[in-house]
Amino acid sequence: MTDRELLLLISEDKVRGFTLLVDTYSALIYKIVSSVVLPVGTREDAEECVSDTFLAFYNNLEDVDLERGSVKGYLAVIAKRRAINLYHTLKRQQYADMPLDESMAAEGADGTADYETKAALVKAIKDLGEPDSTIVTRKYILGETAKEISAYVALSPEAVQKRLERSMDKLKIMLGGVFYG
Amino acid sequence: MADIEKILSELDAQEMSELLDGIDAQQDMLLSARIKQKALPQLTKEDSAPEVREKSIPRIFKIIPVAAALIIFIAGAVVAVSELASPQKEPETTTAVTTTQNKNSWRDNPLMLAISSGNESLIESLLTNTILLTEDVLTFAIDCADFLSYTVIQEIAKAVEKSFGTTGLDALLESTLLGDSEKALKELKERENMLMTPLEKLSFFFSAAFCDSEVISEFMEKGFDVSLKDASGKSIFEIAEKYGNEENVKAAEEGSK
Repeated sequence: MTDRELLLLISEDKVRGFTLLVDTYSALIYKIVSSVVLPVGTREDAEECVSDTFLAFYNNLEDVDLERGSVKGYLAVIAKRRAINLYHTLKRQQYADMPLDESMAAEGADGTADYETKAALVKAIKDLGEPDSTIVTRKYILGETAKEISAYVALSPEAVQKRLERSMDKLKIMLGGVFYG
Repeated sequence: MADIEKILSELDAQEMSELLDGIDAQQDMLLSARIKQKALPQLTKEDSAPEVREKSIPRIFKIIPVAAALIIFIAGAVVAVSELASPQKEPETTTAVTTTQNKNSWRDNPLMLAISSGNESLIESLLTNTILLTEDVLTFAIDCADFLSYTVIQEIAKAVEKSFGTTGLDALLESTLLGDSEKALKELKERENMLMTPLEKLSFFFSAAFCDSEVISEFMEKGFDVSLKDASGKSIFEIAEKYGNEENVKAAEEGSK
C-alpha cells in the first residue's frame, strides 16, 4: 500500500487505517523512541511515547504533505522529538534533588542546527553508499547496536563497528571538519 | 559524534524521509497490539466526547431550576477550593502503583503466572476475576502460543473483549482467533498484498483451528502454504485435528488443487 492510499484509508476508515499504520510502523518507531528513552525510563514509558506519536500523527493529518516527506519520515520526526522531550522530563525528575548548577551542566546546552548543515549531513550520509549509509542511519536514528545492524546488512558485528568508525571519519572529511566527537 | 547525533535529532520530515528510505524494522505483532490497545480507545473517544458534552449542557439547564443550579455551583466551588488547598495524593499513589504494576505486571498477576506456566484449568478459573484482566494478558497469552492451546487463548480474548470492549488486536487476528469467519473473510478480501508477517501467519493458524473452509481457502489463495508450521511445530492439518476442524481444512485444501 502506498503512503497516499494509507492516508486515504485513515481518513475513510480511521480505525482500520490507524491499525494498519501502527502494524506497519510501530516496530520502527519503537526503535527510535526506545533508543532515547530507555536510558532514563521504562519500556512502558517508551510504549506510551510510541502511542502518543501515532495519535499526534493522526491528529495532525492535515499537515502531512507527501511532497515533502513520507509517512515514515513524518512519524520518525514526531517520535524523535517526543522521545527527546520525554527524556528531558524524566531526567529532570531524576535531577530534582540535585544542586541547580550540577543539573544544568548535566543537561547540556541547547542549540539548533541550520538548514544547510542538516542538508549537508543528510547528503553526506547518503553519499557514503551502501551498506555504510544504512549502518550510520540505523545506528544514529534507530539507536541499534552493531549486532542488531549486522542482521540487516549481512556483515559481522565487528565488521559493522569497523565500517561505522570509518564512515564517521569519512563524514568528518566530507563535511570539512565541522563535526567533531 | 555527539554533534552529528544532535543534528540528526533535528531533521525535518523531508530529511528524515531521505535517510529512512529503504530502512525498516521487523514487524512486532505483540508490540503493535500493545500500542493499539493504548491508542485506539483514545482515537475513538475523541469523536464521541464533544458530541456527548454538547447534548448534555442544554438538558441540565432545562431540567434544573435556576436556584437549584446556583446552589450546585456554589457547592462545587467550595469543593474545588478545598481540593486546591489540600492536593489529593491518591492519584499520584495510583499512578505510582500502576507504574509499579506495569513494571512487574506478569509477576504480580496470578493470571499471567498461570499463563506462563501453561496451567489451563487455573487460567480458566481465574478468567472470571476481571481485576486480573490487564491489557497485557492477551498479548502475553499469544506470545505463549507455542505451548498454550488456541482454545485457551480464545477464551482469554473473549474475556478481554467483554471487559474492555475491544481485544486491541489486529482485525484479521481477532476475527480468526474468535472464529468469526464472516469478518475474517471480509478482512482477507480487503488485503491485496499480504506479506506473510508473523501476525498474518498466526491468523492463518487460528483460522485452521476456528474458521470455515472459505477463510482457509482465501488464505491459501493468498499464498499461505500448507507446509507452514506454527510455533509449536504443528501444520494446519495437525492444528485442525487438535481443534476438531479437519473437515474445513481438508475442504479448503481440496478446493485449492
